[in-house]
Amino acid sequence: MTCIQGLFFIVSLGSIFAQEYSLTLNISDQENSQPLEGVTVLISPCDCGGITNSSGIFSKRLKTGQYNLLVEYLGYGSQQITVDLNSNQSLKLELLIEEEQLSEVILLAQKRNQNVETPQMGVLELNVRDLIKVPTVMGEFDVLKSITLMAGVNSSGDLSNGVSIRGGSLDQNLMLYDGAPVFNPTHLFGLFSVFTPDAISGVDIYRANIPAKYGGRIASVIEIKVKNPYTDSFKVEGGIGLISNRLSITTPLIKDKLMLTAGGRTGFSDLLFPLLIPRLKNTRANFIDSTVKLLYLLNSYNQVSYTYFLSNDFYQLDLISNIENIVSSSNQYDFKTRNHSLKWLHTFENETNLTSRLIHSKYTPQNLFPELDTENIIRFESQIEYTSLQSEFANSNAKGLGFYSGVEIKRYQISPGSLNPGNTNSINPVTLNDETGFESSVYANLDWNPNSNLAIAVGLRLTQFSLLGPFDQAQYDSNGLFDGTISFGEQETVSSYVNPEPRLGINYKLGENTSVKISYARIFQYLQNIYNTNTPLPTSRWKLSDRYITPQKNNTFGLGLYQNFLNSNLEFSLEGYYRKTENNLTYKPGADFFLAEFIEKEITQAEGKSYGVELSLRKNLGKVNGIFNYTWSRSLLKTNALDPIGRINNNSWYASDFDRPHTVNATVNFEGDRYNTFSFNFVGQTGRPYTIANGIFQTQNVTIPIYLNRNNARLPTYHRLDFSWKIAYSKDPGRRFKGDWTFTVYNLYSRDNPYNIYYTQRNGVQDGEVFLGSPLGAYELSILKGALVSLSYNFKFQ
Amino acid sequence: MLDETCVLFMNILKYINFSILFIFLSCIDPVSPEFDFKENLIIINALATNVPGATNVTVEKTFIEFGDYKSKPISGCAIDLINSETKERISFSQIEDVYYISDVFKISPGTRWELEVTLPDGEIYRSTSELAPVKVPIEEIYSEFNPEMIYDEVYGGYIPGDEVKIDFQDPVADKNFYLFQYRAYQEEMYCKICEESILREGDCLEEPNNPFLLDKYFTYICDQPCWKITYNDEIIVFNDEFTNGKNISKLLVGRVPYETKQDILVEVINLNISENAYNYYKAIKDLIDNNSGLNAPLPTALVGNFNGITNPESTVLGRFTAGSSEVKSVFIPRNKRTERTLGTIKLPSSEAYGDPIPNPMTYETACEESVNRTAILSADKREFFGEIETGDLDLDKDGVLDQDDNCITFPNPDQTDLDADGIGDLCDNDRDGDGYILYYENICESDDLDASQTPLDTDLDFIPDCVDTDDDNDGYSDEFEGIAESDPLDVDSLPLDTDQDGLPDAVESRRRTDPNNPDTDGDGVKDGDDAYPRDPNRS
Repeated sequence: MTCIQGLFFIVSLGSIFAQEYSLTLNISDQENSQPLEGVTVLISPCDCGGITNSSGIFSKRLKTGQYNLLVEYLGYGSQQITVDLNSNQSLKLELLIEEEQLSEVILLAQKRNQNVETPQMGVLELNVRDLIKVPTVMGEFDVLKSITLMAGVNSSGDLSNGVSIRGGSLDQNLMLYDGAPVFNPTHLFGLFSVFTPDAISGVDIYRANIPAKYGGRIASVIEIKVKNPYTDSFKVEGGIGLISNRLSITTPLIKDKLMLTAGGRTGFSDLLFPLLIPRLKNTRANFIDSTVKLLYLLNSYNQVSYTYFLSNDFYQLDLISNIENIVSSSNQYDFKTRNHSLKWLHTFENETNLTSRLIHSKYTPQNLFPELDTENIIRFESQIEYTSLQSEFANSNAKGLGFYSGVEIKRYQISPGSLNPGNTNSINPVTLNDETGFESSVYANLDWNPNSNLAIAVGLRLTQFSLLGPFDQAQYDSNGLFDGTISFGEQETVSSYVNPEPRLGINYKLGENTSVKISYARIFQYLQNIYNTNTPLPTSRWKLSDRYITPQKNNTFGLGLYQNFLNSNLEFSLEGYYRKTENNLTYKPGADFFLAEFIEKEITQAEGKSYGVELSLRKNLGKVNGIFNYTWSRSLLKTNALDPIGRINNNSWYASDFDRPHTVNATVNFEGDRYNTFSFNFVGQTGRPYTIANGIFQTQNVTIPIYLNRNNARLPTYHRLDFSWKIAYSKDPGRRFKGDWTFTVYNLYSRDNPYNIYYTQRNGVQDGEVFLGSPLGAYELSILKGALVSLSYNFKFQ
Repeated sequence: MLDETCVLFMNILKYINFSILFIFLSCIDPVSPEFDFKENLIIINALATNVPGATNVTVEKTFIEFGDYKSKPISGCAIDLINSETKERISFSQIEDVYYISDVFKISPGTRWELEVTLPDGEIYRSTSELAPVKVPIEEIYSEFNPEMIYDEVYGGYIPGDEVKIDFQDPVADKNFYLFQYRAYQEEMYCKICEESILREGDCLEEPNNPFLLDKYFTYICDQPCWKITYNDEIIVFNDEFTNGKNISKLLVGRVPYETKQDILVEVINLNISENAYNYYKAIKDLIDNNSGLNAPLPTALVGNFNGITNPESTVLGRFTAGSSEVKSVFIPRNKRTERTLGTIKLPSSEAYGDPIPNPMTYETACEESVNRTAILSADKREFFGEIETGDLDLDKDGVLDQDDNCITFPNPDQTDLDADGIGDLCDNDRDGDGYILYYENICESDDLDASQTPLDTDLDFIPDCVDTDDDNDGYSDEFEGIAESDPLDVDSLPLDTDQDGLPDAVESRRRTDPNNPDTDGDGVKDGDDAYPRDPNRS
């Protein structure tokens, strides 16, 4: 079915200049000529529009000119027409049922649900259609890979366990999957994102004036939405790929009452890796993810939905260095995510509604160490358990005033790690104490349009965070040496922080096609992921703020200019931002976080500043469409430590790992005919900062590089071109079974993009012609060498 | 039919998979190492242990010379080891580039020490106090052969080798930290290998004009029993944080690559160190061993334990470590192994009688003492290797001891020496002593047993005309002189060579080079010396 995704900004424009005429549309069903109510009409260049009334009529006064009309209705094929308006005009349009017709109940339910989403500024929206167009590694669309093509979004390289937004670190994004936080968003160490592809309806990324309803991570909110199973009939979708296979069904369980969508994906490469690459002989890599969503339409004012998400990974990879001090035959990773979200939407008569959500997320990563010569497995186990309750009241009336307000209580319970020897006597069990924290917030937001040119969104979120006992807090003497612990009892407050978070967005229209936006947001973060590598391992430690690790803070200022050309077919935007952050986490020299009891000894907190300008050009329609983005940005950190170990780069500003001064992203789609779609995307960016040695010295028969400064060099420029060719071969649009092939080439021109460069000991004459007189050798590690070709088959039956 | 189609499809799938996965995760390329060298860093490495005479300090300063980064030892430092409790000071004295206390000095476990270094310029550096930990004895040491011991990115495959493992009882009372190193001894196969050259008077002598040496190498055995010493090239540390008080077994403490089939004695040094020292070596391990993976810890400064006293802001690297060490050896017999060794060992290739190489022919050379080679091995270590000939050797078993033998590699009990030059006939490339080696005399059909018979040699350079490419030694080859119609046997008859580039004009016109330009292609190599005189990219 064709989903209508995204929000339409419906802004009526006072026309003050030219002669006005009325444009009337009379929209009906082609088959039975019945008028259609609630059809969306979008008019450009005025960026206005509306919904047809019960007689299928939509009418609007517009000044003389040429207009593009986009008419969309759920379950029907959309139509696009051009109108030369120089007199009062009335047009009759007939829409063709595209795939199915939904019942009134479902249509109404869907409309009510969409009303909940309040218009916001500074959002990057991607719907399924956008996502599918982007060529990806294994022929399936992938949320995280796709969003790295947007302005201001980056990753830590070809393997990245998350994304970096506007120079922030990976854990500074709140990644929500139908409202439930996801702590490890990727399979296979960053190769795929965990979100079940067939279940996704769209992604919203908030990175400027983050709405008051969200809080807890300082760089952005990435809200990944699961499809609502508004359906009358049974349908199956699936795909067969080289690495993974997937299947999903959508079906009504009780007509017009209870509907279900369930999808899953599996990847088993146990057999492949060892056979093909000697290096990966001992590699095991399996994963599975699944999303189930139930929608219950209790009556026309109440709907309840429940989403369940699971993700499991198991792998063993020689390219990951071993954990020290445990004697074992190998290191294996086994991690699971189990998320539940329950949502109740109650709609009142007068355009108001109450949304309540109960969320539970559990993430349980484990390291397994099979003991030598026995069947026993030693386990390192950790866990994050997250529970939240949110209730929000929203009112949006047509008089230019919208309002929402709510409360949210989040509970975090972190088990930072325990070592479980199993039945062996060779090691001692270790268990670090759990950490429990509550983050309670009240928030309110007002959307106000004082006149047709001005829209203001003002919000405030007030958050109180408490770290509760039982907890052992280390004490340090004046020399920074460990000096015993203070124990806190059950429910005793260890640390408490109260922080107001104002949010502001102003949109001023300078003309019909031009607007200026200003935004501000302050956010605090009380939960952080701790690691000292390029990208965190799934088992990387999570830590709640306490007395020593104080909450991270962010103030973001934004200014944007938006201009539409060619009847809104070409959108131009220029956004500038400045982010000032405090208490960013960075690691001290020689840090070791594995089962470390007092982790504050291993890290230091740094202030940060990120700033940049994002230029974006987007053409939405036509046979050739696409996006071009260029970003100039910096991301810098500075410690203010007194002790010599914590003084990174001697307390002066240095480039953070996510500093990418220049980034170019572009996607072009050629939608030539009904059967073939060709797409290209290009990514080019300044290389990642990395550290080169300031000297060497010899000890214990080895040559050791001396590092005095961090991130004092850059990897070579990263660039890559991808290609995808989608072949839809069903000639008969009415057929119930449809199949298509997707052929993709990742890294089309075989660029060797280094992921890292590292030094090695000189081994005789090995590679002497490259290393010459250097005391150390150096190698660059690239994740991909050559172009990666893949083919997948996708099918749909309904 | 359907099955067949399926099988075919699966095969295609396999093939596609192959092409995909082969390129995936498989790319490691050498690149020119980049540095941002800083000069004048002071590096102090110091170790005090319970082993008599092992306590030593090195002090170095870095500098850049002709673009190369180097460090040079600083002489004339005043160094004191200070007992942290009694404040007693013990001075070091300098022997060559290293500072020692004495051959017998040792510290006892449980004592606390710090080190103070005063540089000749008056700068003083002092370490924090280090406690010499208790010594934890190794109970068992053994080795296990692993055909896939370690993956070597550069080699592109698994390297076979012997894993040295130990068992020991970790004491309950303390936190214990261990640093493991090894020294391995094996008989040296060759004391010298000369690539495209021959050993004469201790050095590899290149003869650029001798085509015989091209693409050849010569091996020279040691003139006495000689041991090659190899060391661990990785940092192996262990911390009992998860195993305090446990009986630890099969702890890997060394990996010895299987490069030859010779027996090897591996001497494991177990150094018990402090927690801070462990953290230091663990940080080194992250920098050099754990830095290549996908989750490599990002490089960081290595923070030692010295502080500047006179100038607290100064950067001083390195560490003073007080340790308690113990050495335990394991002998790994490898000569009966059937598994293939890693790489190829150079086959013996000694100089042979009749080769076109000058006298005196050489077969052996001295075992020069160095960190990688020794002739002195204590009796208890030698015992492992079984019966090894010592004292008077007779390599060719001809009854004449090597020191008296005039040809040690071929049995010549009669010791005949026609020209009485001290080189026995069987080893003498010029038996009659007329200056023309056997090889030339054979080609030019004269007799190497008769000094009065010498081949024709116009320029008297001991390369007879029949093999000499420039009979008159005038710098123009016989071939060129033939083309240019000058006399190849007359040193005074020179061909016309306007630009004096070694190619006569007549040859230049044939080769289509410029007779008036000594370097036609402008690559800096004279046409006469340039194998590709018209290609500026090759010479």
